[in-house]
Amino acid sequence: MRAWGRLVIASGRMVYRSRDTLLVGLVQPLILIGLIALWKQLRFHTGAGAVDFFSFVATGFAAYGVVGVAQHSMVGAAADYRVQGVLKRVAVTPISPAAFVSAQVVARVGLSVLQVAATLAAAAALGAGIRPSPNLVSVLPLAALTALMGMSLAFVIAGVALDGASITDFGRQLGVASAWLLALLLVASRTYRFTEE
Amino acid sequence: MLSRLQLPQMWSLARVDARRLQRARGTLRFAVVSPALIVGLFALLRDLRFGLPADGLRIDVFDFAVTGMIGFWAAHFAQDTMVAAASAYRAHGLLKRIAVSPIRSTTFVAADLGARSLIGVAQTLLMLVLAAVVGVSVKASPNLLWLLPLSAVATLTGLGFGFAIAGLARTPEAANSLNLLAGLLIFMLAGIWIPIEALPDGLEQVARYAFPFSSVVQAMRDIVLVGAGLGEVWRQALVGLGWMLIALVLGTRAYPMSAE
Repeated sequence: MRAWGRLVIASGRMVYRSRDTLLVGLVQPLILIGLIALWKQLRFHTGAGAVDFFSFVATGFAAYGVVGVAQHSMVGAAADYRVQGVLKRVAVTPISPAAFVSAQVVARVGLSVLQVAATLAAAAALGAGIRPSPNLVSVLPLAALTALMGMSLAFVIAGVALDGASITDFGRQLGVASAWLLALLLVASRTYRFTEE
Repeated sequence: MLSRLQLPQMWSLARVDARRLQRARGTLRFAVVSPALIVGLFALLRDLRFGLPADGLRIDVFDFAVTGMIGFWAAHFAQDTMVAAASAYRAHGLLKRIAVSPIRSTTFVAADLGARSLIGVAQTLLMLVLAAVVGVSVKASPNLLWLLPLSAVATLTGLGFGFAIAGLARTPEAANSLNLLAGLLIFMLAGIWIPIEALPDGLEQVARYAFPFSSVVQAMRDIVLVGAGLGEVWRQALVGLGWMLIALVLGTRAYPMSAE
């Protein structure tokens, strides 16, 4: 466990030292939030009422940014491990490949949580209708969960692409992911006010 | 520039390229299925409107976004596939090998551009038909024919930028990331999915002319929704043509046709 903890710290340092990762993970979402803020006067109208465009898209983007970056970087890393035989080499050390990969995943989840916090803070500063309340803290575990879903999908993609595995080989994992998705959709439909009126 | 002697070679190459693209089932399937999917998805948003409280303006999201896609999707597809192809030419040293054959690299590239432009025009037509089928307010008039040259202009602009991106980035991965970012910015700022009328006043005028594809997409939207003719959209068409020239010049300057 202690060795795994050290691995997580080392993986975290590796992620945070990579300028490209930080640029894509933190600067790009902030630029995009700034751009979306240009449409602050725009509204979406439906038969049920109006929704503020900036608040809707900015909060959606905070969630999408997490999944997108986590998935994108994990597909690249997972494919690279296989192509360069990293896991084969790790297998002959005292560290198990599973511990190595899970440490990488945990480090990236940390980046994702930071990313969501930074994106929401920027959106709030630019005038999105984000209500500051202690409940906002509950967004962070949700961000971690979403990032984990994105990264699981990344491993599926890398597995299908590199090993020629069939999607049915991942039946159980896809079932669990779908159950989580369903649970999140239920929570979303109960907690989100889709209209201002 | 292409001399008279090169033209027959170019036509033969263009035919070969068209056949090659036709045989690439994955590319063709994507070229046909993706417009259908996108139009179908936007059709689900038929009750949605964009609203600007200050001006009392209401814009139908379905009509706006689908006509934006009619104007831009072919160009976007062309740019994406060109970035991938041109960075692969570089990575595999294809143009180097062509340089020692009787065909010039420029002839090879021009033929490729010709074949891809035709696919772009066909995609625009397909998207227009799909849009009419699912209920976009398409104004049927002979002016719709103006979509053909404008679609070729938009596609060639995308192809030019595709070459420029593949030339500026050192690896196919970097080219792909740069292209993703450029595509996202264009989707947002060129009035493809979000109306530029809702931008702050000064920026609205900048967005109309200073972003590639913005003018040509607006011209195509006016032709489809209002039945406008070239007389009404000539200014936007001219700006679109200017952007096409800029993109092609940038592409030829940034992309090493023979040095590598």
